[in-house]
Amino acid sequence: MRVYELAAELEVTTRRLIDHLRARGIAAHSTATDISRENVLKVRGDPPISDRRRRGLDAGQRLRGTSALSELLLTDTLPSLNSWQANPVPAPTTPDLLKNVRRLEVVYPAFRRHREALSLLGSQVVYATCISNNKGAESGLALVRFSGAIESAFGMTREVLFYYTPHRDLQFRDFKGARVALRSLNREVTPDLIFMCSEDERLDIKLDDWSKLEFTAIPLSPHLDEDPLSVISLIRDHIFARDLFYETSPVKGNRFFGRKTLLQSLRDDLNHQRVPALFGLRKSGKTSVLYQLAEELETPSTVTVLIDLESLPSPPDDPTPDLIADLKTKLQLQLKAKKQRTREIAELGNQPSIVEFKNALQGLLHRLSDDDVQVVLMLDEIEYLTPSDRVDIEEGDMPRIAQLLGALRSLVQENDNFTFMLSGLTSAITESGRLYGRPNPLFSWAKTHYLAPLLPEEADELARSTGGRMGIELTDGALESLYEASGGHAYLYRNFASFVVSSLPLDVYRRRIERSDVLRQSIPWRRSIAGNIEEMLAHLERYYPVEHILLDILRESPQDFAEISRAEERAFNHLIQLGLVMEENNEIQLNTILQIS
Amino acid sequence: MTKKDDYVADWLRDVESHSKRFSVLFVQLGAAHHPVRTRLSELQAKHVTLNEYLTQSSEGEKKSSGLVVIHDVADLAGKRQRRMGETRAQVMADLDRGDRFLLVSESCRGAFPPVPGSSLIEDAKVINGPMVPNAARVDSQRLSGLPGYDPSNGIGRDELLRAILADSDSKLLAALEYVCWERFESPRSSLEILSAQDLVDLRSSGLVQLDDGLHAWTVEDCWKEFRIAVADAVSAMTAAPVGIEDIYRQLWEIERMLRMMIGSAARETGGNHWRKSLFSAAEQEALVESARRDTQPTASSVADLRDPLEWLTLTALFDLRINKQLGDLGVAKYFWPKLASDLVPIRNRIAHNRIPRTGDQDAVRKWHTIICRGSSPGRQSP
Ligand SMILES: Nc1ncnc2c1ncn2[C@@H]1O[C@H](COP(=O)(O)OP(=O)(O)OP(=O)(O)O)[C@@H](O)[C@H]1O
Ligand SMILES: [Mg+2]
Repeated sequence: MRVYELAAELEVTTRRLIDHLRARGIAAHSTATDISRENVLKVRGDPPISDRRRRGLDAGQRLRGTSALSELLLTDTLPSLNSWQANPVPAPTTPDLLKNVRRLEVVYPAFRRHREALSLLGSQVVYATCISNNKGAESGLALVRFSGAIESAFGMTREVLFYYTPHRDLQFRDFKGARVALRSLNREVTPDLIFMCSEDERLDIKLDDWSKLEFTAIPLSPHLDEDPLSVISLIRDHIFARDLFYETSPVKGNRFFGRKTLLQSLRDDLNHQRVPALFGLRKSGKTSVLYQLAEELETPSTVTVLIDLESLPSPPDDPTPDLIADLKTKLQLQLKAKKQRTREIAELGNQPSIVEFKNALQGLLHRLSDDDVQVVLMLDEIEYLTPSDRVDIEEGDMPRIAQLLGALRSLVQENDNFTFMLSGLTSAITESGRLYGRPNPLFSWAKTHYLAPLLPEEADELARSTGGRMGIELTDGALESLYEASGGHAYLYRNFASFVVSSLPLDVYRRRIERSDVLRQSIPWRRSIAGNIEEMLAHLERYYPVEHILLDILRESPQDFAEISRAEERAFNHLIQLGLVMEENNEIQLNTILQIS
Repeated sequence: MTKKDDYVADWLRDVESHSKRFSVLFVQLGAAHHPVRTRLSELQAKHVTLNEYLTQSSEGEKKSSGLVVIHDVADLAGKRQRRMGETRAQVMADLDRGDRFLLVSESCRGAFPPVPGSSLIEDAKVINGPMVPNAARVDSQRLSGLPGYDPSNGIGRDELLRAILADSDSKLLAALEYVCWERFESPRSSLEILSAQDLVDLRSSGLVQLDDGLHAWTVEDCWKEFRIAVADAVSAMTAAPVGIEDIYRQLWEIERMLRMMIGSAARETGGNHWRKSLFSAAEQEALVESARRDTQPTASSVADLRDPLEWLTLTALFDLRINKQLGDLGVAKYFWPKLASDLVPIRNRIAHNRIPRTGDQDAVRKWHTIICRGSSPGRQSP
């Protein structure tokens, strides 16, 4: 029997059948390939490959756990209802829950239709309640646990909130209300995705406007099509439309991955009042580490102040007055949030001198130490204090910067409840013996850390988890190729993943990235990102001149490099620590992002 | 709305959906896309100028403004970078609230000065203005794919080319001069020698487009006219490019330093009669000739010149170091060839009053740090 004949019999496309045959290890090169009788029998015995035409639920059919799941993997047309039921959730039986469900159904008849459609999909309501606002209107909340098949196809792992609002003209505050309700549930629920039901005719448009990547509300029409599969289409259209990989702002919390050892040693440094300094390439994830660290340090008695120096003036203009003012405001704000008084710095004049500022801080810290309050100051984008491309940072005329850093240093030495840390591109601020015509107060005192690329396993976790939330599965081969092409650079890695995702078809029900998908996009991606990589290198050229030349030499005459790297030990170490070159079995290699394609 | 304009509406829809994915978009709408500017008002968005954006603080407001279109971001190009930092800080804060941004600029990305760290412009996703679909083009010229091409209103090929080049960044002009006139490349091969950053800018300015995933000139079928337009635009450039003063000063210092380093080594090696022993008779004659033409009309031999080395070109000076085995002079030996190959072309460009190219400023600054501030560990103090 030929492929096309069997396809016709099984009511599937030949393409699909060929894929299926291959997956079964049966050779099939074209639609005309002859398939042995034995194999025909095997395939006939398989669960349906795709039965678009037999959509309805076959009541007598038993749910087929794994084989139904494998069907999902094989198909890109709408899989049958029963495959979505695989690994169903048991229907609720507790009287309390049933009572609440019925009550919600009375207030919102649409809820009943939704619940019925869900239960045909092996999914159940596990919690229901009504809450009334001060005007007596009632919102409905239900938590739904989806079937195992749906959860795995769309990367959901927890209960999902279905929110019913009485308002016909949905307002932003209703949307916010849903978020608040979600948080107040005190249960392990999906934090970034809800369904929202309202009679508002512009529900789709409004929710689309208000939804952000970190929080998506899927519009659920009260008049949703009877067919339970329309719930699936709805989920697909919204979850697959997200691009959680593309992200240019710093991340923290559940969007932050890896860096465990680094965070541990930074915490250690701060606990022991060593001043850590974190350096890394552009977009390597420095600010994210600071955000994450601040979050991890958070206790009722720790005050963390993060200052981004970029919005302040930069030499040759004197940044210190603005920096002091900024510090003062932020510190006051944070202290007030912790119910601490701020008298000492509040009493400071308008333009305090560095000495006045230091003394005020000294007094404040002294008092805070009685309450065991710790203060941690984080200065990000430190190159704004030392723009070595613009001023001579060793001998240039900006003594107040050195003075201020000196004051911070003595505050650390004199108080056991204060410390600070730095972060930026260039390590000159800790490695140069002199700073603005004085001995550098941070030289061989601050502890330098470099931010290397993500490790392969950290990147894998990032991709698996982020992909999962968009219903995307990545094969090991795909992960390997993603890492290889981006060199593990945090931003580039995500950028590439996002690029690959945008090339995936949207009209499938199972999204999966394989090595070949990644490889196919790798050249177009490199082309799209080439300008950004050049810019990153331009930053390196500005702040690490010797390192930049070494990279050139490594590219142009790798045979000389070993010798040169020994002579330029410090610069070579920087390159290794920044992850721009790798040393493996005595061989030195450029990070793949720097290799010309 | 006429049929020809429908593609703009499509493009606006794309902008809207891109903004949801990428949060901050940068688009250059220069001469090539001029008519598109007025259509931006159709975007469901908050439309502001940079000044308005920075002054009408939306602080305290919890609700997102959705899409915010800032219409004159080009104001940040060439301005003091503090403003850029302020704008970025504000944008970052508003992003947290869920705002999305379209940064509209008449200038390309390359025209914005580099900032020390995070950069609003560098981090924005670049999108390009729309192209007129084939069916709606007024004629068969490739340029007619640009919305700004409008012969019936007096903006034909030459006018459009002139307008695009007139608001090009100086570095981009220099790159075009290089491929069109110095290298004399064919349109296709020229695309391979342009830097990736220049290509991004050429695309956003409308001169290059993506064809089947590959770069292609929109001026390919009028290359001759384009070259002439480039020549005219380059000659017409009289305002000093941004950063020229730094390049100039640093080159001057580097070269003085090199002349001092090589000169004193040469004098030492050459002994008392270094003037004569360093140079062959023919070389001596050439040096004296140069001096006579310039500052010392009466000089008759190298002995009359205060410092004959001053009359050597930079290249000849580098050669002297090698030929006379003057040593590495405190600069790591493998740096010398790179120093020469990096610096000589830039130095010649500047010396001949030509326009600096993308990367020149960074390269000069890098060597200045190494040679004049001795920041290289490879440079042992003499
Ligand atoms: N640990 C991480 N986990 C996941 N994503 C990360 C991580 N670190 C960085 N990223 C990604 O990289 C991007 C850049 O991160 P971040 O802004 O922290 O880098 P940076 O080094 O501070 O950059 P800049 O040079 O702009 O200051 C983030 O938007 C995020 O997408
Ligand atoms: Mg940062």
